[in-house]
Amino acid sequence: MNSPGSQQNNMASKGKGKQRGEDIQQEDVFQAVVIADSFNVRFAPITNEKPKSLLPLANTPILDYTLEFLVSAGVQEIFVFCCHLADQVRTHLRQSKWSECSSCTITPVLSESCMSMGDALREIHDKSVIRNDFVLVFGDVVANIRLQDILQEHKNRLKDKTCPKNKNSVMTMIFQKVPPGHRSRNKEDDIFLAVDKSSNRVLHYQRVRDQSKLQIPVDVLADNSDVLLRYDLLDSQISVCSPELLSLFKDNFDYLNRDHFVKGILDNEDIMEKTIHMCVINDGYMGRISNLQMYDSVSRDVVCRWSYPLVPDTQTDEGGQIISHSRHNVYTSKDVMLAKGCVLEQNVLVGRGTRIGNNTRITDSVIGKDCKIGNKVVIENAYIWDGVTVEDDCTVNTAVVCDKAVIYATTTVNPGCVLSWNVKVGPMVTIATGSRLQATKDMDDDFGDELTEADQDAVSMINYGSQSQAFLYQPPEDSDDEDSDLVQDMFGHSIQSETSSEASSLSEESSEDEGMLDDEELFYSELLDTLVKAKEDNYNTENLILEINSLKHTYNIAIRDLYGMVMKGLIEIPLRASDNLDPGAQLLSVKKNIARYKALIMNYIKNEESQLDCLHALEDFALSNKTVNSVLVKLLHILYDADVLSENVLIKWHRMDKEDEYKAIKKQVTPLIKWLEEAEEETSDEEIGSD
Amino acid sequence: MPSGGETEKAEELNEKLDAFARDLKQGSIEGSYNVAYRTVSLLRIVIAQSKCSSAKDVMESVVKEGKRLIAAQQSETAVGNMVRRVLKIIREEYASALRGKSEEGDPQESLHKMLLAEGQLDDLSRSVPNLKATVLDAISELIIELENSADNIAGQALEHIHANEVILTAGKSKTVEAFLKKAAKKRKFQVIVVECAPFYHGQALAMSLARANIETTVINDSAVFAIMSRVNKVIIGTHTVMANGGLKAVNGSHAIALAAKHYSVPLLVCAAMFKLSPKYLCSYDQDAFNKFVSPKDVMNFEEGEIASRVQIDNPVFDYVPPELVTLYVSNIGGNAPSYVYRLLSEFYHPEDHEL
Repeated sequence: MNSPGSQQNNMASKGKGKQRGEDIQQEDVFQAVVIADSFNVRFAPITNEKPKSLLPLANTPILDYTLEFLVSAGVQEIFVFCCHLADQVRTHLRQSKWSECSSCTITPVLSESCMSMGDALREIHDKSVIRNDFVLVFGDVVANIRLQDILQEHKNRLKDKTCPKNKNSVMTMIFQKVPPGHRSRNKEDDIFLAVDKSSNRVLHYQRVRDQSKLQIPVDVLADNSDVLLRYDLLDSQISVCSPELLSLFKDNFDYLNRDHFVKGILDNEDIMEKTIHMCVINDGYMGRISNLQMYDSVSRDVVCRWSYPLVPDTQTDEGGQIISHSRHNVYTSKDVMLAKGCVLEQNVLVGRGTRIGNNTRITDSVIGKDCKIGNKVVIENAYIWDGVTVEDDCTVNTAVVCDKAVIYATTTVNPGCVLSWNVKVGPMVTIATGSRLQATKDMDDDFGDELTEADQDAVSMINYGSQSQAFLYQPPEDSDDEDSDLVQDMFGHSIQSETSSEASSLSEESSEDEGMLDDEELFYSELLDTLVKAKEDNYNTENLILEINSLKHTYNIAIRDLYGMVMKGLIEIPLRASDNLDPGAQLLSVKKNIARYKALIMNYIKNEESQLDCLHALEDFALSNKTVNSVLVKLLHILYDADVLSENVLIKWHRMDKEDEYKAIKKQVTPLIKWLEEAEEETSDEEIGSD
Repeated sequence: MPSGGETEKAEELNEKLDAFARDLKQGSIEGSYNVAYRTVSLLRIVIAQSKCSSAKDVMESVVKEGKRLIAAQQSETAVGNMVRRVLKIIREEYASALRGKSEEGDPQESLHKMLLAEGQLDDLSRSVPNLKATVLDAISELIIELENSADNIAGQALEHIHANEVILTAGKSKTVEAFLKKAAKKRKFQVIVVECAPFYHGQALAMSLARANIETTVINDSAVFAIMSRVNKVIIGTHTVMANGGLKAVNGSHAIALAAKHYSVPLLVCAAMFKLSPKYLCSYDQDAFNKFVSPKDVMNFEEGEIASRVQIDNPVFDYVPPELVTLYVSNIGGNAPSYVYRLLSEFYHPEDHEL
C-alpha cells in the first residue's frame, strides 16, 4: 500500500521538477558572443584606421550583417567583444539602429589588451554573463541560416542520456557545403575533417594549408565504425557552444583560437570527456570575411542575393534611404545621378548621392555614398567606398578603394590593389598589380638602410603620379600574428584565377620568377664578395673557380646565368672601386681587372653560346647602370681585344632581334660593329687577294 | 505608478511592432491575410494607446508606425492597404462625429455630399470627444470583415463552379483552396494544379485538394498552354490587386492568363478586399512591385562554380494586365476589373494614397 503512495509522491515531485524546468527554459535567454576583431592583419593598412567589422560590405558595415543575422535568428542578448579600435565599435553600436532594438539587448565588451580570441573568451568568462548555450561568431559573418534549429539540435544532444558522448558535447560547429573549385573557397579556410556519420561527432579537424598529404590518426579509424571524411566544407567559424566552453578556455590559457580549442578537445577526448559535434546546413547561406578574397566573394553573394533577406534593398541605414533593385542586380539609391551614356552592366550597387559621368562603364562593383565618378571611366570588380573621386578616363579593376581616396585623371589601377583611406594617386600613372597603398608613411619603419623620407616622397611621385599622396604598405615580417604561417591569399591573384585561369597561371609564373630573382640577387652579392675577397687575399684562379662553382650550387643558379654574372661582377668591382675617377681611369682599371682574371673568364666563357649569354648580361647591366651604359662600347672593345668575345659573336648579337629597350644599346655599339665588319671584310678581302 | 504601466505598455507595443517588422523582412509570415490581420491588430493597439483626441494626431501616429512597417517589406502591399483603411476609418468617424448622424440618411446625394465634405474635412485638428472609442469600434468591424473574407469568397463558389468542370489553378492560395473545397462539398469537378517552380507551392495545394477528395492533377509550368484547351475555367489567387485592375500574382500567372485568353477560357481571381492596393505598375522590376529572393531555389550554392558565371534571377511575382482578367471574386461580391477604381475610392481616401 505504501508503494503506490510513494510513487504518487514521486510523480508529484517529478511533475514539479518538470514544471520548474519549463520555467527555467522559458527564462532561457538566447545569447550570442560576437568577436568583432579578427586578431590579424589581413586587411591592413585599411584596418589601421577602422576596425574590420565596421568596414562597409555593400555599403553597410559588416557588423550590421552579423547582428541582423543574430537578431532575426531570435537571439535575445548579444555581447559584442571589441578590441582593436574598440571605441569606434562602441560608438557605432550606440548611434545606429541597434541601440533601440527592442527584442535584443546588445552590450559592447571592451578590452584593448586582448591579443587573441582565447583572451577575449577568457575575458567574457570573467564577466560571467553567459548562462546558457550560446552562439559564438566573429563580427564579420554574413549569414541567413536558421540558428534556432541548430541550437535545438545542440540542446537535444545535451539532454540525450543514452550516449555520454552526445551529452558531453561542448560545441556544434556549423559548416556549409562548398565543394572544391567554388569561388568562396580560399586557402586559409580550407579544412579537412573526419566525422562519425551517425552522430555527427567530429573526430578529426585539420586545416589543409596547401599540404598535399593529410594524415588521420589511426585511432580515429580504429575506434569508429562509420567515419566520414569531408573536404567539401566551408568553415565560417559560426558555432553553438555550451557555457563550459568558456571555462575550458579559462583553464587552458594556451588556447588562442578556436582551432587550438578544437584540437585540444579532440586530442584529449579521453581525459576531458568532452566532445565536439558538427552540423552541415542544407538551406541558407553563410560566409565569413576572413580576408580580401572572401570580402570580394561575400560582396558578390550579397549583391547576387544569396544572402536574402540581407540584401542591399532591404537594408535601411540611418538616413532611411531606400535602394531600388532592378534587373541584372543593379541597385541604385533614389538620388544617384547617372549621366547620359553611362552603363551599369550587372551586379552593381551605387550608394546615395553618387554622381557618375558620361560613357562610364561599371560592372560587378560596389560604389559607396557621395562618390564622384568622371567621364569614360571603366570600373570592374572594384569596391569603392564613400566619398571617393575617380576622375575622367580612369580604369579601376579588382581593387578596394577606401573612403575619400582620389584617383586623378587617366590613371589605371591594376588588379589586386588596395587604396587605403585618403590615398591620392595619379594623374597619368599605372598602379602596379597588388599594391597596397596608404596615405601616410610607415612611422615605425626606422631601419637605417631604408630610404630617407625625401627619397620615399620622390619614389611615390614617380610610381603613383605627380599629385599623389600614397606610400606602399609593407606588411610586418615578424608579426606575432597567430596564423602568420598561413598562406596569405593575395587578393589580386585569386581574383585573376577567377576571371581567367590563364591569367592566374601567368601571375604564378611571375611570382616564381620573382623568387628566382631573389636567389640570383643573393648569389650575385655573394659572388661580388668572393671576388673582392679574392682580390684582397690574392686567391689563385683555380681556388676562385672552385669557390664560385660551390656558390653556384648553393643558390641553384643556371650555368648560363653564371657566365653573365661573373662577367658583370668583374666589371662592377673595379668600377665601384674607382667610382669617383673619370671614365677613362675607370676603364683602365676594368681593363686591368679583366686581364688579371682572364683565366677565370676563359674558364667559363669558352664557346659562342657562352659569349652570347655574357653579352646579354652586359646588355642588361648597361640598362640598369648609367656608367656602364656610357662606356659599353669601350668595354666591348676591351673584351674583344682580350679575346674574350669573338667578332662573329659580336656581329651575331648585334643582329639579333630584341625589344625596344635594347635598341638604344644596339645603336650605341653600331660603330664598333661596323668597324668589326669592315675589319672582317678587309681580312676576307685580303684573304681573297692573297688567293 | 500609472505612468510606469503606460511606458511598459508602450514598450510592449514597440516590441510587437519590431517583431512584426522583422517577420515581414524575413518573409516568415505566410499569406497576406495574416499580414493584414496583424497590421490591423497592431494599429488598433497603437490607436488605443495614443493619448490624443484629435483625428490629426491619431492619424499621424498611425502613419508613423505604418510607414515603418511598410519600409520593412516594400512588396507586402497588404500592410499599406490596411494602414490606409484605418486612416479612412478615422476620417469617416471624425467627419460623422462632427456632423452628427447626417450621412446615412440620403444616399442619392452621396456624390454631391462627398464633394462638399472634402471642404469640411480639411481641418482635422478639432478635438472630438469619444473619437477613439468609435474608431476602435470601427476597426473591430474591419477585423471581423477580415476574418470573414475567406468564408465570404468561398460562399460564392457554387455560383462559379459547376458540375464536371475542369478548373485550372496555380500556386498555393488559401482563398482558392477554401473556394475549391467549398464547391467540392456539393459538386464534382476536376482540378489541374500548376506546380509553380521553383517554389513548388502548387504541389502542396494539390496534396491538400486530393485529401479533400477532389480529382487533382499536377502539371508543370510549361504544360499550361497544352492543357488549356480542355480547361473550363481558370481560378487563381493573387497577392495584390493593382489600382488599374491588374494583378500582382505568383510567378507564371501571366503565362497562364495569356493561354486562357488564347482559348477564351474565363479567368477568375479570388481576392479579398484587403488585397486592393492604390498603386499602379510603373516598371516590372521596380522595388515596390516585385520581390527578388535568393537564387538558392533555382540553384544550390554548392554549385557556385557555375553560379558565379551566370546571372540567376528569382522573382516571386508576375504582373497580369487587367484585360486578361474576367472577374474578381471578392468578399463583397464579383466585380469586373474595370470597376476596381470605384472600389478604390470607396475603401481609401485619395489623400492617403501617398503616405
